Amino acid sequence: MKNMLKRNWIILFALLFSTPVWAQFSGIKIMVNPGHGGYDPVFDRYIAKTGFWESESNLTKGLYLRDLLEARGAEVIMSRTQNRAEDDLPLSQISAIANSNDVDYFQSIHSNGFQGTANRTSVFWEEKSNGQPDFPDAKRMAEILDDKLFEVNFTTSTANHGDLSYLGFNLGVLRSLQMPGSLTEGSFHDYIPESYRLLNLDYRKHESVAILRAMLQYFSLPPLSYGALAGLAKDKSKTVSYVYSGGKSNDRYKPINNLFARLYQGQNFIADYHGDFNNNGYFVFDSLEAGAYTLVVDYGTYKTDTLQINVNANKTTFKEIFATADNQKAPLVYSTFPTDNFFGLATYSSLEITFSQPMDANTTEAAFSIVPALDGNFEWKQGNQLLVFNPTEAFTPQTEYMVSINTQAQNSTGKNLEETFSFTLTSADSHDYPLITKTFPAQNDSITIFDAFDIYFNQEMIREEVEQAFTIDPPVTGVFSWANDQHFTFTPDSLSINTFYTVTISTDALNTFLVGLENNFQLHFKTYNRSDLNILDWYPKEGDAFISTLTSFYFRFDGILNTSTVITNLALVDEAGNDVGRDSYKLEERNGASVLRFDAEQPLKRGAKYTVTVFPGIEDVDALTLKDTLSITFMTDTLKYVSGSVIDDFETDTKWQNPGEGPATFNLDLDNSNFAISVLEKINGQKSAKINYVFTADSLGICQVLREEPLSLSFTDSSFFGLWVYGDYSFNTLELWYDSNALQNKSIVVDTLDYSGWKFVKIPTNLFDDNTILLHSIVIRQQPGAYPAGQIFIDDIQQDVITALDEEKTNPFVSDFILRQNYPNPFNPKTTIAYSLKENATVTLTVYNQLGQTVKVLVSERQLAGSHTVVWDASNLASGIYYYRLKAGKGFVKTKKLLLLK
Amino acid sequence: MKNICIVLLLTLSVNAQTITVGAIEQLTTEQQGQFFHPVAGPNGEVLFSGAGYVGLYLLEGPDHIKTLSEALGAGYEPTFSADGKNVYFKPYRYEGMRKLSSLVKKSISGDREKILIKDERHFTSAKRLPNGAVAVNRDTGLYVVDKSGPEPKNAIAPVSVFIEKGKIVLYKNGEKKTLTPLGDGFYLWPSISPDGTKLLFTKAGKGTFISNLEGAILVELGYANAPQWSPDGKWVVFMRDLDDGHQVLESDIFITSVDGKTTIAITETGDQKEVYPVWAADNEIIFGTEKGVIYKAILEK
Repeated sequence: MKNMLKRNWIILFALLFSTPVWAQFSGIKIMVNPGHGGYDPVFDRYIAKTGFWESESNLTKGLYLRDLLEARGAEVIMSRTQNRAEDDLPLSQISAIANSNDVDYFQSIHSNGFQGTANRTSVFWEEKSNGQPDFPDAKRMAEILDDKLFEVNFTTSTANHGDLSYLGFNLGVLRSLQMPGSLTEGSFHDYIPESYRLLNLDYRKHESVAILRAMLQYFSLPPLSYGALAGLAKDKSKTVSYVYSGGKSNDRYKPINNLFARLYQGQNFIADYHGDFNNNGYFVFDSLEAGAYTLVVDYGTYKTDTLQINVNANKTTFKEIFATADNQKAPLVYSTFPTDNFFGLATYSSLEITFSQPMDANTTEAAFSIVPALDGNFEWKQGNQLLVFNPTEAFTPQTEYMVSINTQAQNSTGKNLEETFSFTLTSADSHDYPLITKTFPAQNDSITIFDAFDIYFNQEMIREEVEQAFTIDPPVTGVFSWANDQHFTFTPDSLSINTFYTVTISTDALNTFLVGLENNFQLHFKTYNRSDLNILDWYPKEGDAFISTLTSFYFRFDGILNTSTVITNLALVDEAGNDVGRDSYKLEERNGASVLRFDAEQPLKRGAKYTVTVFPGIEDVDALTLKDTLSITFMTDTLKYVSGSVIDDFETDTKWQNPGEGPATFNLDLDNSNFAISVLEKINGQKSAKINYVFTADSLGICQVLREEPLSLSFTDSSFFGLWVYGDYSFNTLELWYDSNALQNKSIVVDTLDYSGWKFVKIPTNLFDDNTILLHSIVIRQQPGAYPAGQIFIDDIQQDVITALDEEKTNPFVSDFILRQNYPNPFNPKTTIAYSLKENATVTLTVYNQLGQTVKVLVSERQLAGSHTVVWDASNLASGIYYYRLKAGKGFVKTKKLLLLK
Repeated sequence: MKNICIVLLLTLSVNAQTITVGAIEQLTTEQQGQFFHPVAGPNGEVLFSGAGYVGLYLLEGPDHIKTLSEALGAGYEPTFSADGKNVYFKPYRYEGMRKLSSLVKKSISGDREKILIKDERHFTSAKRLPNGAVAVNRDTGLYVVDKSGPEPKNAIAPVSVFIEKGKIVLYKNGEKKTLTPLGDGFYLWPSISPDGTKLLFTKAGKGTFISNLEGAILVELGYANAPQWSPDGKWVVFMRDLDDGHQVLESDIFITSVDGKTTIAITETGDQKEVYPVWAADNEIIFGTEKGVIYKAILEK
């Protein structure tokens, strides 16, 4: 028993201390640089005869090496993962990427060329003018690499070189590395037999396996426990027509395309390999445990070969096979796409059948059947060895099809298929309906009357059907032009200014498989009144009362302002018409238009009337000007705030954390959302809390700023809790989250951020669940239609707030109450309606349609004096104009219009 | 010191301002060895590295080069203390072929050396902040490793910038901000203008740009590698290196006005490839060549 325990402990220790394969490279950072990039024949090494691009081949090798390394826990930095011209980085930038990422090793992957008459493996290390390597470790790695690459590539020799003495120059990508690096030239791609081999993706990838083996050795990690078998099949009776001198002598023989190799261990089938049609005769089996195997290679018109082969761990056994012709063989089906019993085939797929021999098209097409029947046409490829069936209609979803080729199918010499070949497939659950992926204008955007519209589909469409399915309301004639079958432009003959339009593309818009859009698509947009610059929104609004004396003025335009025209075309005056100094101008670009904010130089006087004015001289960058002067008269707050007992003055507090730490944070761009103690704005002292937030979706966003240690608060009855908030006019809401005795994460909505600048926000403490709470989070909650990003400040969280009722003045603007314009407007499907009650009152807020019928009663109750907001969700209603009416107190009735656009 | 003008001097007339290259001095010779990547100190000191950033060397005077370190990585982005008396550099060694880096403070007299960070992974080269302190960036934030000397009188807001996982990270007023002004990709060679208000950087494959500290692009400078500010913040010096995917075919040094409108060639050679310039004093640009010789261009305004 004791011995057994001991043995178990040993096993446990062995498990604990042996690194699993997936973590072998854990903590190691490697940069992989697939050489070149793009399709420039000069720089990206194009071989016209074979259609080979070095830029593509290097990328295949690099991406597969990345996958192999990452599967073993390495961190891999890729200099590129695509093959566009812009991916072809300057060499100095590639080494700078390696340096700034502080990688442990750098590997550049290339292939070479030399007049098409040589095929060697070379590995380069960076060499100083005295012949010494910059890094002895790079030379050591080059020695390992040249050995490993030679094992997998069909080259004549291998060597490693210092670049300067061998090439006569320093390789630019190695020159400025601050770590060891090597550049491999696995083989010569302009040597045509090798160029054909390099067209085989598995041949390329096997070079990546060789580099992996080298890296394991370089990093002193255990070698691969498995090996590989690779080879080339050739017909010795035929000599190739292209240059083969300079390579291995057997390159003279014609490689056999379309081979079908199967591997067995004893009687057990292990894997098969289908050769390509690229004149290389290559096959490979990787991830084989060491041991003896039987390889069976079949080829259409050659005798089948059977070979006994040993595979060693961490090695590639390489086999050349020379096949002998057998013209008596009957044709076979080697493979199909999809494979037999395939489930979930996309409903627009083509079918492929690969035969072992060139087939007679007529008899084979006649021998083809698909049940249930499907219209389509045939296409022959690869010298009539590959039959492609292209349906001209979609597969019916969730349907089993049987595809057969009966024995009437003949090869090119008239031999019939020996037995009927069939395979079955099941189509996908539903069509991959065509989608509209992009539009100009974007949904609910505004455009000029001179703009054309662009619609992009993700699939090829039938142009006439799409044009038939296209309508615009109000109707506009115009011209369609198609860039390709996935993108058209509609150029309207004329659009009206300041008009809402809806473009509809109905489900009759068909793709080339005759499948239409799943749902009608509607695009809503508005034309600008673009003969002028317009102010779309502003704060405060005409007639607003109780505006904070520390307010910030907010104007959103529909154009980008010419900054030099801004300051001189604004005015802020008091009731006597005296100019009030302005400062802190901030211009922000938002969706191609400007948001302007500025403050008064000094706090405004309490209970005073001010007028802020924007004059027509203000211009946008297109030199459009405001048509009319916008003048807003408002009244400031009458109340004087005397600080209560400050709980957090945000001068030195380091306990609040970034929103990324908030467990409830949701749909938030963490890179651009943060909490900081900031000197930019303040109420008292030098600093305040700043929260930047950017929501990543249209709704449900939460920005939770959590405090490491909650603030413990105790309230007396009937007291007030308060804080200073610098609003961003985003219309999101600000909440405080707290834990009380029994309840966790209770929230209290402090305010809607429907103002700009500092405002004191006061909450009766009886709104909290308990007299003792732990305040732990400041939360911004995204509201429907609100702007999804902003910046707020918070200062002096306090309790026992004293509000000196300095002298309560009446609001001179309204005899009763205020009903504000809904926001946003137009909207879909939610909008916010705000109103203010000067005194406690019975309120009804009702929405009507254009016929005057009641659609929804939003409020019907007695409410306290102050500001109120209601969110209306119109998701079950049709687009159109609606009205909302506020009745409050004795005789106040006000109606406003809102526009639902779906 | 040899004073050989081997580089074609170029003069360009500029609208309001003319800068000409008065002379080009060769600071090192091939016989002394190959040196690269010069860095200038506040009092005219010149540091450079060996090939592959191995070793750190100080030019002490004509024909005299002092070895400060022979370690791997020692020559990669060293930085001077504000008074020029000390240099901070980041040598590394391999353990199990994994790099372990240290941060070393060494007096340029060579008699004092202090290891500030020992054998760590994942921290950047040191940068000197406008207040004289020296800091490195880790994923977890900015770490001041040395509060060197009194704060300069006209210290501007401490702004510093690093590359972290290919993105720009900028620290200002103690806040860390990640910037990707041109979307995803690799950002390189970031630096803050001498007045602390602008950011200069290169995006791999896209070019070099000046932005404000929020990342809003102000000027596009085009293809301009390893860019560096002039001390007065009015110019940027850079190399324009062209390659064929294997070797650098040509490279020259240029300066461009920060509005991007005026570009002046500092070197224009066919046979020699000038690389990695730095602006030393107001009127001096130091650069290396691909073959490993260090030069100084003296400008005349």
